Amino acid sequence: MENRSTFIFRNYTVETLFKDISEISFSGYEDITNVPYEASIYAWFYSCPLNEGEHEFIEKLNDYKQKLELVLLSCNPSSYVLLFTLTPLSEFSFQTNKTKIKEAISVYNQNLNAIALSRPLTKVIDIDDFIQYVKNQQIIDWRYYFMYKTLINPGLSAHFSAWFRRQWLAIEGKRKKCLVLDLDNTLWGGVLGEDGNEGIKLGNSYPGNAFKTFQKMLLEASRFGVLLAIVSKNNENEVWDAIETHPDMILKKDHFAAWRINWNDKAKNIREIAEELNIGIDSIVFIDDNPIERNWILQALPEVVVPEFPKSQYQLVTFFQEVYNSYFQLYDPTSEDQEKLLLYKQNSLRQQSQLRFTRIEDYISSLDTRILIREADSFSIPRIAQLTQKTNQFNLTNHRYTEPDISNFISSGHKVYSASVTDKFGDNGITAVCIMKRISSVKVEIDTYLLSCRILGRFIEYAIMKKLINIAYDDNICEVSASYIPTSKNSPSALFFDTLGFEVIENVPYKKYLLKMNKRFEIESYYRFDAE
Amino acid sequence: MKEDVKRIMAAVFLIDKGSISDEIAYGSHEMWDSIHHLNLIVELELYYGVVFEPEEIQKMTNIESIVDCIVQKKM
Repeated sequence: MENRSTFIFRNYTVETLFKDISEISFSGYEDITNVPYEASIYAWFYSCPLNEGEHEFIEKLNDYKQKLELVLLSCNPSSYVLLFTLTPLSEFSFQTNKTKIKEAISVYNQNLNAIALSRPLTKVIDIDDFIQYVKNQQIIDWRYYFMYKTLINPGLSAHFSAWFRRQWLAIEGKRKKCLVLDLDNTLWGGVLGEDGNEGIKLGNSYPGNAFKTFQKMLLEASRFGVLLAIVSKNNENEVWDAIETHPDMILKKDHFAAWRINWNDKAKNIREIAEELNIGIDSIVFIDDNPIERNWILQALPEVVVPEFPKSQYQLVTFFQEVYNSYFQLYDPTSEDQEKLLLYKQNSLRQQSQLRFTRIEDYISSLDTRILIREADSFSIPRIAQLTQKTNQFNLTNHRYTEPDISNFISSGHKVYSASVTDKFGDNGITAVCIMKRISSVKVEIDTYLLSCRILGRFIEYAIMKKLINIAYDDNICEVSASYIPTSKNSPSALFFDTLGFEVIENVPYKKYLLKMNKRFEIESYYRFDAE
Repeated sequence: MKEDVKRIMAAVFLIDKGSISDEIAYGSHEMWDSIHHLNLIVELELYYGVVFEPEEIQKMTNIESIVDCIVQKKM
């Protein structure tokens, strides 16, 4: 996945599992508002919510499904989307009715499969495959679950990386381009040079019919874009004579894209064919009945795939099916797929301009969000100080404060606010903090504004800030100054004040803003502010 | 052991080992945030074959306390 940027949507902490991958970033928990268009790979990596009763669990899965639909509308249509399936990770569950839970999971996974079938470059990754891979290990480490909100044990990250890399290679690097075929005892039975045109086994009785079927399968593969080539130690004239005149020969000269029929080293021949066809050595699969030749190619050209050749001819069918499924599964968009892709791009762009905003607002309004803003008191001060210490993503100034610091603000006449957010899924507790320093009787400065990533992703940060500024305005404040101090992690909040309509008054060393107010902010009606 | 810890830190934080001073502390270094702390603990556990308690994980915020914790575990 080198030189690509990957963006992962997640509902638990999964950063540790992807630490080997560079250029990777993550959404907030269950956050779908930020969908970076420049990502070349999106992964939808949600896990079964653990701490939920049956009803909430099913609701959550529906919510995830809805979120995924919204995300797909905003994803770059020419980028990959990897959809991780859900699987129950914990043997213990909070749900009594396991049947319904299983059903909900299976419906969710089926939906992923349906999406993968209809959207190009979209693949389902079966997380059960990973669970099988590490089945003797501890899947959940409860220490890290309670401390860091991880589900899959971070101690398994090396296993996860290896597994994920394989999945990815299977998706991206899977489709080879060219089958390089030996002739004697591979496309027909016997040795042409010894048995002659009439003596080779190819026809309607065993094993000749098995070779004939094999040739039919190869022809079918070539119709699906697989290039066929010959590398054989034979006399070229004799070979073409047999191929053009043998009555049961299915593959004709026209079906082959390139050939090297000579007595040279097969590795050299394969290299020449790759050059001639202008394809990579690593896009070649080599089929030869002779184990010595296979072994030599494995050593000389490790990039070439060299499958074992079946011992008996009747196994040729399953053998080729496996080769085809493993290396030639159609994944590159064909012409029909190209059309689909084009249509999809148009649709998706249209949806981005129109649907995206209407639908995301519908979605947000369906969450039934209620916000309670309070001034800090002795109960909330510890949580407020803690949030200033550990909030990184949405934190405009990154000032870190202790409990006494917070108390000092209050006793000096500044305002320290906290906001608690409740939605249809439950109470998120105190998840936002704002410290407004009083500069004069008509002016305040936003010293700190942060939101826990738990509730990022529904533009709530704007609603809360607007509300706070309105409160200040009602208190005769008409100027609000603010700043954005960039860190390596808070780029999601970089344009926050710009979006709110603040004016940039300084750029160096960091952005400073001013807002002159002459009216209250309008706040979308689907955010309800509760009074205490 | 201190040098080993620094080596692991350097690998986890993706920084040069030479740039790690004895005074490095959780939160004070840009790379030592909560996710890298988690990664660091995981690596230390694998390397030393120990399992830390949550209380210890919270206390292991500088090299000295990390070394203390490992030494205690190893006894």
